[in-house]
Amino acid sequence: MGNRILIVEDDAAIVQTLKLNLECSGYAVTPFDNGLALWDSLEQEHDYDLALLDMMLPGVDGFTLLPKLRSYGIPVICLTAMGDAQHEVQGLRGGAEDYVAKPFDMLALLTRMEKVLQRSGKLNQIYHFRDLTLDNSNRKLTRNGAEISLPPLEFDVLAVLIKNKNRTVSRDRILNEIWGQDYFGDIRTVDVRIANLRKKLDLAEEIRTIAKAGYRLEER
Amino acid sequence: MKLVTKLTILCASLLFAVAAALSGAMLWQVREQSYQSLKSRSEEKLRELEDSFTEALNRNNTEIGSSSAQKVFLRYCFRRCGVDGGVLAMNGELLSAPAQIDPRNYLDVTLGDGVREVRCGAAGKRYLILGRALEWKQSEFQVYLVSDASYIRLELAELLGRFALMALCVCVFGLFGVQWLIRRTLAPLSQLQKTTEHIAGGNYSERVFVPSKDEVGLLADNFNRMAAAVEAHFQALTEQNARQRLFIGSVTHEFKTPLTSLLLNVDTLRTVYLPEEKQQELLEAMDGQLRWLEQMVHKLLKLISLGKSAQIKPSSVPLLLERVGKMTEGTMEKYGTELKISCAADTLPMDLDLMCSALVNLVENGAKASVPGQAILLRAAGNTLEVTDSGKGIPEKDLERVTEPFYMGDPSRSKVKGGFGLGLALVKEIAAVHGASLDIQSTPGKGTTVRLGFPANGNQTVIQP
Repeated sequence: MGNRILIVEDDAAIVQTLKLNLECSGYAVTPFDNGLALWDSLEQEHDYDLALLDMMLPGVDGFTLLPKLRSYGIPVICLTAMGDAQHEVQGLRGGAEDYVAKPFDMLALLTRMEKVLQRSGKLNQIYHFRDLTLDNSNRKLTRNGAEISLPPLEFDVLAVLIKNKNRTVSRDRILNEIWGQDYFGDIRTVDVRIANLRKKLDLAEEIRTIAKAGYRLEER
Repeated sequence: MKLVTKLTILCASLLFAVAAALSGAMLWQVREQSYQSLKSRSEEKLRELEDSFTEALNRNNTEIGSSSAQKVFLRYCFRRCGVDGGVLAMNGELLSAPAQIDPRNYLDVTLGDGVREVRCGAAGKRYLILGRALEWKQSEFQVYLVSDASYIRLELAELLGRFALMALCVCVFGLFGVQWLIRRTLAPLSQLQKTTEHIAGGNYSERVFVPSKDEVGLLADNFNRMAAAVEAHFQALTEQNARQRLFIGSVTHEFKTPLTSLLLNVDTLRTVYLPEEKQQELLEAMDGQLRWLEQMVHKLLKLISLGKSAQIKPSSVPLLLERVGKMTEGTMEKYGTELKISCAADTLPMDLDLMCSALVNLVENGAKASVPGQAILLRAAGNTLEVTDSGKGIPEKDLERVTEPFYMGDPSRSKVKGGFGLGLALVKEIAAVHGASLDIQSTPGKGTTVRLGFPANGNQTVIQP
């Protein structure tokens, strides 16, 4: 099971999209549209790995909720329309791990979430795709329990794809994920690894090439 | 150059001129007096000389034949008189000349002239010369008296020195006095200047205080009036600017939330592999958000361009209320409320469409605040239109701000009942366009009354928003 994410946001439209995207990425999502309701429920249920917290909320606002969430050891990423430095500082001082101003980029948010989860040691490193299981912590890939050995680069590319299951990832992004921002290598490297993966794991259909965008591991 | 300096220099030169003129006049006076006294003394002396001379001549009755003998005799008699400065001349020849100068060069006397005088200078000295022609035994001769007047000059020179010193003292003390006086007189001006400097620097709340009632006082009064007007305008502009900034800030904030979710949704559709029904769900959500944005833009445009399109003319109030009733039927049904209309007015000067939209807004607000079964009253009486509900009311702290664009009582701006927070702002603008007053009275828990009061005489001033 994926990490449990708490979403505290009063705009139903944003909650809907966030939930959809996060569930796509394998997170278990619990949404709240009201600060007061969350405050009351935290007593019983506070087993969350990460909270995405809107600062302007009906009932109890984000700045009040922040210490409460921290007291249960839940790392917090602030989400808010108030994209000014003062609120950012206030949020970070209040103990937020990170800060994302609206309108935000989903991929950026996902990356930040992953980093926060990694820092707090709660990141779920085991990903599933059909009969494949990838464990990023000990770099093992198994199919129905039988270990498959892959060269390191191919393993990394697969890890990026499987982490972003059903989501289009560009070649640039794959390279960045593996080598970081400063890599200026040949983008074709990715294509070669993808071709190998398709052949070795019999994923010709599942790893789709999306024109002008990148690759996508689709789970139908 | 500063005004004080200019005036001081002007006054000082005037003072100096007066002092110089006075000194000059006095010196002249003294000189004349001295000469006068010298003259009278000399005249006395001349007369004595004449007397004693003629006496000496007459005493001697001996006949003197030759003219040279006569001359010698005359010279002898004249010398015997022994008067300092006496000069005797006969037929153009000096018979006795003890004086340093030749008086004939300066004074010409003939018989019958009496005593004549002249002032002259020679060899660095001044002289007063008196002269007279006399006759003795058919021959004419002249007697002169030359008096040294140089002492007058010395006296005058001494006096001049004193006067100059005095004039200098007068000038120096006068200068300070004059400057002090001018400074005192110009003090309000310099104060005015200092204050205006501050005001010109942007401190519009500064005022000039000049207690005097002269032109400077009047100028200061006028200046204060001007500064007050400038300050008022400036403040109005600042407030308007602040309001507009707030408005733009609110607009931006209101747009940011739907835009965030729209962007997210587009991004999701673009990059995420989704089942058909999930895609549909997202598209519908996006449609809703876009419609919401479109409506808000529409309302904002209306709010901004309100004053320009208003056509205010006497319009029927019953017709207006009827229209409002029809337009709010759907809302009444939705919230389970009832609209009660009562009309006791004939016509009012208004733009029917705008007023209709204002009343619809108010009635809808009433319906949103009410619970099913409650009634909303729409009343027209005389110059007022009134909407009353018995709903939850507005808390006192919100009353002042409810007409601000995007202001919603609930700080979270939760859109549970679906609103933009623009309704009352629109009503306020419409009221302003009609020159009507907007009065909101509310008791939390009991209900709200919103009253639009039209100007009584009908000659309303139309305020452009």
